[in-house]
Amino acid sequence: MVFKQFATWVVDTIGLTGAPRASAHFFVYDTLKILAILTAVIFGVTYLRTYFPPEKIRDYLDGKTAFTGYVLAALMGIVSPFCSCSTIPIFLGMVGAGIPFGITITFLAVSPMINEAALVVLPGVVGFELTALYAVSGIAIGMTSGYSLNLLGFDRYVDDFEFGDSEVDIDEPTRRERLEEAYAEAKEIILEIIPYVIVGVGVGALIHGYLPEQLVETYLSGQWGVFGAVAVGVPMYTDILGVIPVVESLLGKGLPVGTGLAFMMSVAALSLPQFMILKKVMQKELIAAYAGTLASGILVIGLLFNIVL
Amino acid sequence: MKITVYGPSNCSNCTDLKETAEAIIDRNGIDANVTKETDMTELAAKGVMSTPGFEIDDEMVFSGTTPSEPELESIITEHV
Repeated sequence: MVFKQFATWVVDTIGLTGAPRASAHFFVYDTLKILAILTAVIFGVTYLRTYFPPEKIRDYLDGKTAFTGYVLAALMGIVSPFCSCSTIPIFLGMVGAGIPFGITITFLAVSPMINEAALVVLPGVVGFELTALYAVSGIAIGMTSGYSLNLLGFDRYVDDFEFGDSEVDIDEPTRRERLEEAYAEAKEIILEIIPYVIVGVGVGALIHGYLPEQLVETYLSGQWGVFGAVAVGVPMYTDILGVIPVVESLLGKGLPVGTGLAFMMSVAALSLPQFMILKKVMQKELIAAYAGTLASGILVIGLLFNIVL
Repeated sequence: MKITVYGPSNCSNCTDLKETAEAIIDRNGIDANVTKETDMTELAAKGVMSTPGFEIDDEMVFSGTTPSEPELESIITEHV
């Protein structure tokens, strides 16, 4: 890889050795690698997405109440815009259009947890097998949460609003318009994510260079580590791409895989800022139940993976 | 006329759109008032699912796209 050689060249040129060298190498290599993948994948996906505006998907989901609806909502969550500012309007639009409540919750849960850029970055970090497990369990957790909240009648805690129907004529855009649109959206998403990636890679680099393996083994290797990971991860806010490098370096220090996945999922899926936004559109009973079902699902997955793998 | 841009505060395309619209209005001497609506519940009420939503005098002209400056200029001047 060009990036790896470049990172080696950088640390050689500065003349670093030992822990600072390891940290700096990790930082340069991971930043370049993640940003390159991010740019390519996001541009590609935003282009494809111009063919599937949310209004279209919403209409398509309408009337699909059964299992298919949940699966489609989860898949839609994966390819939905990552910008947190776009997820909630889509969620509300679906609620307003009368899409079954459980299906909308599934979308809301899967959307931040799994996205296409993460699915491209993750195999290089944890391998294909774990990436697949991450995606499948994320979808399972999202679907279970949506299904059970629906069963328990939590839809009554969504605030009542007047839902409008936007009658915007969507002309079939030309290729040039699609490219321009994709460029504008990709730029916005990337600019939003970059700070999280850099902070995440920075923390990952420090862990990689300086955190003693002994410490991970003593405090984080048992099953209690999963509870700790979820407790720390739930309130924390960063993009999934910001947490990947942190988990990458922790796994390198011997963190159990289930604990690592649980941390990654809880950071991505739930956060205090997200609760604040949700507070505007749903009541606290629903937010608590939403967070509760997701956190328990993540705990179960983390504990299970630590035993099985 | 009254122009409203619908989009959450952390959506940079929405902020850009409002600024571009303001510049166009100044340049053409149009008597208009541009505001930005960041409240998610207002977005839902208007049926805006993809941001930014662009409204002129209670008519949602487009949403989910960011037209270029000349395009936006012709959209606005058409509505005068």
